[in-house]
Amino acid sequence: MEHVHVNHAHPTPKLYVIIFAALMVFTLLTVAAAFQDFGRLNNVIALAIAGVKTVLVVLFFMHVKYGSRLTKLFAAAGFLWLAILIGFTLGDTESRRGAKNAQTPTGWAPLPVDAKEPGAPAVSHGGAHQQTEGQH
Amino acid sequence: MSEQAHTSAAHHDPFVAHQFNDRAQQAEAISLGMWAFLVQEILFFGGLFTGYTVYRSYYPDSFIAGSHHLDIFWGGLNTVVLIGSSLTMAMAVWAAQNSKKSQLVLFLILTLVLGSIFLGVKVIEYTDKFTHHLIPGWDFAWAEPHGHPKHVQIFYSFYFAMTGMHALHMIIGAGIIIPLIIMAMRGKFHKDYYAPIEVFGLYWHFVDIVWIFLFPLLYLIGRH
Repeated sequence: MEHVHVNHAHPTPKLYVIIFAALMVFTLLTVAAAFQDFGRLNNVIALAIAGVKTVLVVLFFMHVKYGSRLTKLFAAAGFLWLAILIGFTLGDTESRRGAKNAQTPTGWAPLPVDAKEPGAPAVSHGGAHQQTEGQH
Repeated sequence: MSEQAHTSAAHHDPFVAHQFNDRAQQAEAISLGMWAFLVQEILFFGGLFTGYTVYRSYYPDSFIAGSHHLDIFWGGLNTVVLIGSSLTMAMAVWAAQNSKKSQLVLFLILTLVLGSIFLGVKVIEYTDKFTHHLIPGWDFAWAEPHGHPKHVQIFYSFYFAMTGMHALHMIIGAGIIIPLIIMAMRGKFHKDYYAPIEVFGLYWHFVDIVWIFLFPLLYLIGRH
């Protein structure tokens, strides 16, 4: 078996403080961005900033940058499976949503429940599924 | 013969457990073990994030309406406090690696104090939800023009499930760091032995990352 290679270099307190400062800047940035309207990009920007902050924490505070390849693989695997979990779930829920609303022009309109809010009589009972079916 | 001598010499290193060849292999195994746990944690919280995403996609207006009741000041303050505690935790690991006992104790105590401030702010926020009838399934009332009460209630269900589970991790972290502080005061950790500090640091930083996503997803949506 191949010998384990671990880089013994460790970050210095100075580097930790720089990473902390960068995380603070990105926190301010995400608050500032939240008050601007970028349309469809609002969520993308918020998640991208959170993603950059995560990478900084994982690489430097959690020492993955200085860890073995196997440690890097473990860390990456966690986020890969998370992407599969969220991606495949949304692939299911979002596509069936489109089918339910096929009568709408785009096929991708919000669920009728939300569209009629607030206070439409048909909204008060049952979930989205029964709502749509109840209209037929 | 020399092979045997080498092996027995390695095993005389009091800081290497007998099943490991050397310190590097031991350190690798320790951090991999913790990462295996953290990967599970990512997916554990991932279920909550997935549910949040699905329902926010279904009821965007109600999620925004619910989010507007959260206070960016408290959420932002807690973000700064928690990232600050990650800095002090990283410094604690550095102090342990360099056998700086008094600094290790100081940074661990600072981490505990910052974590406690975070939980204190959470108490203030939860109290506000109780007084404003925003507790799903128990005392929920929504009279504001935006958002459907039933769907705003879903937002608050996710709010409490996600921040509550996050806060539980903080409380568990505080429960672990207190004995670590006592052990550090007794001089248990030094450059040859600091695995508990390093592994706890990984846990603490992970909890920080969860909040890095919770803050924009719960507090900052639809603010423009």
